[in-house]
Amino acid sequence: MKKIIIILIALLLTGCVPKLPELPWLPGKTTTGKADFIGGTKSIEAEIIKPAEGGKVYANQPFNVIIRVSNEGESEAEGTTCISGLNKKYFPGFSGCECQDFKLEGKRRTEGERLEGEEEQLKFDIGTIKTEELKEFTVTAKTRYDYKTYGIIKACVKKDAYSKEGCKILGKNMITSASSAPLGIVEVTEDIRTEGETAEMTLNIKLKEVGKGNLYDLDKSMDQCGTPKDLKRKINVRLINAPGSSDCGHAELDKEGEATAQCIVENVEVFDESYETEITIELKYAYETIDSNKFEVV
Amino acid sequence: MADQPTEQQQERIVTKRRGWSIGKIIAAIILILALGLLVSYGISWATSDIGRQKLADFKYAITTKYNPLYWYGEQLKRGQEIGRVWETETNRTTEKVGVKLQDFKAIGSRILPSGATLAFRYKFDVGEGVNELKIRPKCKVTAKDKDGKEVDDTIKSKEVTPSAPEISTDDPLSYSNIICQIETNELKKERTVVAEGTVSFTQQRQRNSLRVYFTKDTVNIGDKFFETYGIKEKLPIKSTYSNEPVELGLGVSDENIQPVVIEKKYFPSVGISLLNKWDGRAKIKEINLYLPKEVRIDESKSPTSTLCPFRKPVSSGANYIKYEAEKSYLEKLEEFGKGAEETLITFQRFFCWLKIDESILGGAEYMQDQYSVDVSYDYEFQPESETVTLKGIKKGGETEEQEEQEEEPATSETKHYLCYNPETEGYSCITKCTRTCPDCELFEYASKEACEEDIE
Repeated sequence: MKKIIIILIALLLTGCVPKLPELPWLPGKTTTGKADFIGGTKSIEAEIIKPAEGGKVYANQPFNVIIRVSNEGESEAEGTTCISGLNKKYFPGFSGCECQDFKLEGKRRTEGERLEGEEEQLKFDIGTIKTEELKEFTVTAKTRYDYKTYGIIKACVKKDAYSKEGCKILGKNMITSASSAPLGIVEVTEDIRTEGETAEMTLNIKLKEVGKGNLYDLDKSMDQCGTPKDLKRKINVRLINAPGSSDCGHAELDKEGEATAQCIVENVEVFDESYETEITIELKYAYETIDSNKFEVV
Repeated sequence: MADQPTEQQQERIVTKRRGWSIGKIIAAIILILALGLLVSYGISWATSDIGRQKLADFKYAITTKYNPLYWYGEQLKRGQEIGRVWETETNRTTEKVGVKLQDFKAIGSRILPSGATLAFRYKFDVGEGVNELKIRPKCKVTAKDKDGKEVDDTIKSKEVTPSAPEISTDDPLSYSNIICQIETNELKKERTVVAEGTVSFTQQRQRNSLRVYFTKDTVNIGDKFFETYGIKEKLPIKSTYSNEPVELGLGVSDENIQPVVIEKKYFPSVGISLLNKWDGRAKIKEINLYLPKEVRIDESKSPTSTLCPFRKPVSSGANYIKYEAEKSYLEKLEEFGKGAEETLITFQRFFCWLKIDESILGGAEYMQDQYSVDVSYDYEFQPESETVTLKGIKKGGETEEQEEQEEEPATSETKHYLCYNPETEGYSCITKCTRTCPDCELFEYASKEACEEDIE
């Protein structure tokens, strides 16, 4: 017995403590595994800070447009800002459409600490302004970016969906936490069908556009000033930690800015007793915001 | 029988009725006499110099300023303007704009001896924002004899000083002492001098522009376009009016809905309106329209006419092309004015269809550019007038009337009248009653001799 104690002390002193296996990273989960998103409708805020709205700029001096792009949501974003609207007759150094890329981390929590989203200033050098009769101009900045919405739900797995025993299959209350993004998860409903020791879970997810901009096409180039007419406002849906093999496909936003996605999870293990499982829903889409500032040349 | 009045009672009733009737008659006579006296005074006043002038002023006032029909006409004109002119933005802080010839009054007395120098002052009401307006004051003078016939023996010379003043709001001295001075000839007879003050000026190249947005977007039209692109424009977009005599309005359609959509099913146009804002009349001399080089007047839809008086582009700069209005069409247009009785319209309006090349967008979703116009016109204020009486001068102690009689020798048929002159306290025989002897006809004589006999 003494020998065993000595060996253990020796092992402790030499630091050879057997490591616990690392948990995979899950969005919205703290290190303790608690679901904890900040929530909201914000994502990328792209604002023309120069020239200011109603501001004055000087002719015959170098003119530039500065766009502040900040990530106020909770997803990483990669995108492009393009400026247009300036008439080449007055801004000879302007090509008609100029774009710049950005990549910004969103708001997040790391070991109990809350980190703000990243921001960047995009500077477009336009050259000098030619003075003529027209004194008031408008510059438009179109910002497009890929973004993700995360939602954590608590799904109930039981052999008999209608049984009053154990956990309950609920409606929208299933959502326990959702990330800040322009596309919101409004409601999730669950249906479960058991076949022997496994079950097939169906999740119906209602989505709604809640941001200040518009959904953009994931497959279209972001590097252009015009917005194509044939936009497909597609949303790719995925379940991250589903209790079986899942397939969601994609959803498409209608004119009212709403969509419904359906995820089917197969081979969900069922036991005699019901149990609850946390599932993370991930929505991936492209988003577009527009900002314009009117200014005066003096 | 009991109801029949007795004889005594009947007599009392008759007496009572008679007494009441006499009193009424006396009162009526007094009233008639009082009225007659009033009428007599009224006529005397109305035929006097002051009376005649006051009546002339009153007549002018009731036929213009205080005439409800005139006011109604003005409101009607204003009503006709609505929807026909393109509105403008204004940065003015006061309602008092422009220049008005308020008065043209004689300095000093309005009854003077002939040969006197007459002076009339132009009084202006100058509103905000007038800066070195070069005006041309003129005075038109007509002289009339007692019978109202125009005569040309009265005016020796006339001169307006300063001849070409420049009016500015901030400099009241620039317009407070503009005077028309008239030298008159010495005459024995009375003359009425009517001086009319007119002021005109030429407005050269008054310019205005309208910011125009062009797009191919047929989904987001009107307000929705500006909302979609986050463009903070106050709609409808208007040109700016800076208190000039004529408000120069521009529009892209009747309703002035922007942006201008460059698509086959849309028909772009440009409208120009000139609305008279000051107190006078304007006559257009020249109009030039400047369009972006990608925009042209559609000659097939808008041939040169009074509606669209522009002919082919006269010059083409790097970015804009200039269209000049054909003078022959401008000449056909009426003067347009405010407050002038004979003027029927207060505005002029032009409208042309356009053709727009898509290249104006430069590959962008929308582009901003402008339509501009400049206009030159002659402007004349509402004239103001004043009447002055020039009395015939005395010569060698004789009055004008006596001289008149000498000029017209009496015949055997000429009647003579006895005249008392309070100044000399003497009597004289005259052939025509004058102001000094207005009631001479009471003492009428068949011959001069008879009259003189009476004096003796």
